[in-house]
Amino acid sequence: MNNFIEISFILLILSAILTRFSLFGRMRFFIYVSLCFTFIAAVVSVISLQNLQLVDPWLGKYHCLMNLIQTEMYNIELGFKYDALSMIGVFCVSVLCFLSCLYSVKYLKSCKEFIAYSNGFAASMIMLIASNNLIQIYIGLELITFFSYLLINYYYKSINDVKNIAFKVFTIQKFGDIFFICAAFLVEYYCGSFDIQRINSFSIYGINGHDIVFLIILVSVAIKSSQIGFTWWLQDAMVAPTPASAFLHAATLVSSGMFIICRLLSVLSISSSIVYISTFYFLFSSFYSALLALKEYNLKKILAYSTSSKIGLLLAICMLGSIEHALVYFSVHAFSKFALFICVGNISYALSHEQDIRNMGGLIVNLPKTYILTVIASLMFIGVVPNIISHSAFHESNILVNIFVYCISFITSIYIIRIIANVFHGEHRVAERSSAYISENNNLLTFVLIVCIITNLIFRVFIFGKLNPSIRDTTLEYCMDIFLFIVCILAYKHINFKHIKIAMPIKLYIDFNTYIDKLRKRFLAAENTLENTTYCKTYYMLVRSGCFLLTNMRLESYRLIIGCLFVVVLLLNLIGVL
Amino acid sequence: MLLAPLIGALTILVIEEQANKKNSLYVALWISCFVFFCSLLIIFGIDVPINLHNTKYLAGITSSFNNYFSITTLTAFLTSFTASLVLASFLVSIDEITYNRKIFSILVLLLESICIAIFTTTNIVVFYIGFEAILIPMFLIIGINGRSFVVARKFFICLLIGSLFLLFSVIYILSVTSTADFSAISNYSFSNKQQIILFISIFVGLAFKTALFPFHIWLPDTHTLSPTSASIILSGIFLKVGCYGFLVFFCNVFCSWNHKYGMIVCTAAAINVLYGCYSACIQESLKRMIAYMSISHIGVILIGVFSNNVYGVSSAVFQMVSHGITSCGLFVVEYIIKKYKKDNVNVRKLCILSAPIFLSGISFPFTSNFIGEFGILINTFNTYPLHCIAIIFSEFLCIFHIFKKFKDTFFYSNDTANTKEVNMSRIELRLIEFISSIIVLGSLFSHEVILYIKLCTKDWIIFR
Repeated sequence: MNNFIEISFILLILSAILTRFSLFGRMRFFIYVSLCFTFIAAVVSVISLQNLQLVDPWLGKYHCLMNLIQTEMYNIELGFKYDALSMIGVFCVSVLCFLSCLYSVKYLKSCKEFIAYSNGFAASMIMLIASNNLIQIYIGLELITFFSYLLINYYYKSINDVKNIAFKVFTIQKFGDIFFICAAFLVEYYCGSFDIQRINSFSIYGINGHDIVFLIILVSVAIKSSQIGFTWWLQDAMVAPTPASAFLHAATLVSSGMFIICRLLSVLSISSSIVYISTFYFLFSSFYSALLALKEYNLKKILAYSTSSKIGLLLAICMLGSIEHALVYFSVHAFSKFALFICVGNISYALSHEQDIRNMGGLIVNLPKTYILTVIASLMFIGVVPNIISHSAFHESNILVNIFVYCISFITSIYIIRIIANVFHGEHRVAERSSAYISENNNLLTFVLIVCIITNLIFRVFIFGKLNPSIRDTTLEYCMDIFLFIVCILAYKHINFKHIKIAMPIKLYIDFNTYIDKLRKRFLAAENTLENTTYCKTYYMLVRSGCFLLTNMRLESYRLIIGCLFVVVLLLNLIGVL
Repeated sequence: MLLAPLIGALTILVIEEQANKKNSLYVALWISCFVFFCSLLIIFGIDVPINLHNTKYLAGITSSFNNYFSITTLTAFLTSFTASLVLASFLVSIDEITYNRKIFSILVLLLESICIAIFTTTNIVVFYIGFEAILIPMFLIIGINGRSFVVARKFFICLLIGSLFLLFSVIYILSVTSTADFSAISNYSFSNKQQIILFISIFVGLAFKTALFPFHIWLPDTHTLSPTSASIILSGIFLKVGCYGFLVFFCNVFCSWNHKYGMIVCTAAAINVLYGCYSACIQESLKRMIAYMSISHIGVILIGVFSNNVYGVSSAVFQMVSHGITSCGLFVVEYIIKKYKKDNVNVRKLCILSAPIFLSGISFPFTSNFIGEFGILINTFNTYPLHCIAIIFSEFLCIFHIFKKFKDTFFYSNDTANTKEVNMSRIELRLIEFISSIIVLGSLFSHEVILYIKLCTKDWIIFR
């Protein structure tokens, strides 16, 4: 299990090639074989997480696979680095790749191309994540750009505009790659090496040009993760089939910027002006796209805006210098956003590819399983752990940053609730003709969702504690999560909607209780920012009153009572909104 | 080795041409196969440690000069490349050339032997004669289908002017140094004035051959109107001969000039790169686009040649070969698309098979162009940073011509639902498969190839 990254890399490539051969007859057989390969790759990466505490978290060993380019001074190699960053990255990528391939078998009519492309994508993403030099990062960027182009282009036969959209997205991403490679060459010009370890140990801080170099890198990161000014490509990319959006545009591709920043962090964070500029840029763009998500009606586009918002937050955490928190945030976001996208996929599969939330409503009757799973997924998304951990990363920084972060997380819960309320509750707005056919005979799709959620929970409980002692302190929240999960499963078993309706406010209660309690003073500063939006208003007032009560009661016994009251109020509120 | 194609040409001359039969082409095909395998044998059988000192001399043909032909690792590599491209052009031409088959095959074999002579010679006069002689078969091959006589004439006149400059410089060198051997010339020290005169005349002469920016006018027209096999030879071999001229003159014979005049040539090359890319973006026909793309790639190769270090020059050689193979593949794909009409051919299959070729055009990772181009960039960046940024920018522009063409050719919505799909012929299928796999394998084993080339370039170049 020592060379697990290589093993999963090669397995993924093999499965991509196998599916490509399936063009020449015996399609089904090859598809199953390649799915097996992908599954083995995922299992290998899961098992390898055992090594996480054995290897020194940030100084792992390095394996060279092949020699790419030579110069007189050094060789540029294709190799893999085994540290915590690459281990967790590879884990997320390979597991999500397998899940999305499995999902596509049922979801898409012809899944062979999809499986080939997404396996290729996963292999190139692994190359990017585990790289030790800038050229290899560039290769990874190029490859993921190309594979994402192919996946966006998937429906080119049936939908007219897809070709041009895909080309547009390809162009902008390639532009980002070009920025990155320019920056890489300039770094080499100053440091004399492409090797990341060497660059990080080199002192180039006296040189005039170096601020500009890293600004160029940040621009390319912003393009890749669709920050403000470049948010449009992620919206356009939503013409891709849903499993592709779930795997690429929600979980992995957009966070490639995070890996670049993490690798170059010790150089980037030298100049404090760059850290400030980029942190506020990322926070502001996160805030902005969260606001945009409130206005959107297309289900997938709401999630796309929320992706750019969350990735902005993630990049801000990175720039503030805590890689552990960023990693936790990345993996939680990847899994939960994947789960949400899969839910959207289920819904639109049942409604024959309808994605406008104005044409939905009252689907709780037709799609009870999907409803439960969507609730769980959205709880995970706005859930306890990521918030707590990310907020502890922001603790030390200044108050403006904190205000931004709270606003963003409020808006997040608002638009998630908006989705659930509009899709599952309220009156039945689906067109009469099709409403008779809505049924939920998609066991495979549900299965994928459940696997995703379980993996995420297990991952949270067993792995994150190993990374950082400060993360380990939040074990209580993990237990809460598991408790909630069991409650939800029980509710699922006896399909009884009252339980489910209670489950969600409980989670919200835990959520707000924990972090409001910790940060109540700074919270008060955020009051006047967001009162105009309609959904915002009632919700926000309630939260504020609840928060006010909670923060003024110091005794533990009172808190329980107030908490119960809070739950009831929230429940009422929820029903009122519906 | 050198004589085999010549003998082949003679045999074809002897064979009587039967109407509507392809005898002569098949004979030529087998001869070129034989040459190709010979060159492969030389590559793998070359005794590397002995050959480091260029000891293996072969007696020359016949003349009053003391001609010598030497085989180094570089020349063996280029020779086998030439042989493979000739093979490819024969394979394409089996269906394409409908009359004058005999003359065509004789001319191509003649051209092959002249090319091999140029690549292996160590004598400047033989080199020049080869440069001149290659024009005649090339002219006839371009004009062979009768349509493109005007274009062929334009081509011939342009290159003849270039040759005049070369002739002048060769005579000048001979009169000054009174020797014709490369190593002897390289030991002679020229005065400053002589250097400038020689540099200008050689540069202009070779600029015509390699279609540098102001002198490129013959290239696009020639590509557009000539048959596919002629285009393959033109962009694959003919331009590479020009590049090899740059390599020989400025890395071997006058290697001290490499640094001195590098700035001028590299600036010209960078202009070439950008100009080629911009013009390629606005072209309609694929062939014309490939022609402009070749112009831009030649610029990249030249910057590599003047990179002033061993690895840069080696990657330039690698890029020469890889560009030849890529453009050959593009021409073959274009030919297939034109032959079968877009709707009838099995598009999915063709798309997957030819994807590496198109991607090599935008120097995508894991294609051979990537290795060549990035080898050049990385090794040159410290010397000429601005020129390299121009190359990087041109890579971005690449997606607006070659990638766009790829998209438009293969990803279209077939509303007509044409169910009758014609499969490609076996030879074309294998040819495309072969070219694609060469492109991918070339990138995977680039380390070994570049080390192999380096054995020769290391000897040549004593920089600064």
